[in-house]
Amino acid sequence: MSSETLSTYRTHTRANRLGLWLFFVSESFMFGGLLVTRFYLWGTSRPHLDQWLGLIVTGVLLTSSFFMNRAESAIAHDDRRTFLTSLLLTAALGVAFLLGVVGFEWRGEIRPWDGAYGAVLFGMTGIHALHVLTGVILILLVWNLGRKGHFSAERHWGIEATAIYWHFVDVVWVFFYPALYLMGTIGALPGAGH
Amino acid sequence: MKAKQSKSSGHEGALGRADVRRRAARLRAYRLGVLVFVALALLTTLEFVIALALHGSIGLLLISGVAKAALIVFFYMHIKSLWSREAHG
Repeated sequence: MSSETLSTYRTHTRANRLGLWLFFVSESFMFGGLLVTRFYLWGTSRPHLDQWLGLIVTGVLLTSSFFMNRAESAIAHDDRRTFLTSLLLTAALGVAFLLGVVGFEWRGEIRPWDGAYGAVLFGMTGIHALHVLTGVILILLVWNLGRKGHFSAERHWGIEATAIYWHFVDVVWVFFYPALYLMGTIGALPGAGH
Repeated sequence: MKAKQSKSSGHEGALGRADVRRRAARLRAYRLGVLVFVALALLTTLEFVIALALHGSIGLLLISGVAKAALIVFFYMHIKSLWSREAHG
């Protein structure tokens, strides 16, 4: 790649990066709104949820972020084998997270129509799961492009964007996990029974 | 002949050194990823313990959450690349 083409590519990448971060700002308002809803409706209480399931899905998502970072580092250093393997592992862990939340947590005691507990739990995990699903699709798309040799150490904005998006989804869960599973004490909702 | 050979071996030596440097840079990047992951895992375990031992102290859990988010934003999302002229990508 000529130095002029590379320079143009880097200029475009800087603009793209700024656009992606602005998108995260707008997403933060939505996720922040959901967090505020949790504190407004649940107060210092929380529903009875499977603590081990919460910890396991959180561990799975954190591990997926680690492999996503490894995939990005690998392509930046032309290590194609590690790049492709790490991407696949990230996608597999993303699917495992979805199975944990949708396949197990959603089949627990609480249903979406069970008042504020149900509404907030399904609202927060549902919107987040939708983002995880989108991320998994993106990862599989870039994996397929990477397999065909679409990315290189100098040109891999597609990987960087997917990685940043995936880590953003992880950052959201960093706040959602304690808000749903850990904060406050198990009990009746504030104001319940009045 | 000798001069040609030494020039060729010098060129190979330079290539070898460049390869070693590239490999070292790659290992450094991988190592940083592992360190951040370990820190995140430790903080998550700490959150779990806080929830069990301190009845889900909201303040402590928020502090831990902010620390974890900061680690991810700085090291995994490379927020610094937003204002650096030479981006890594």
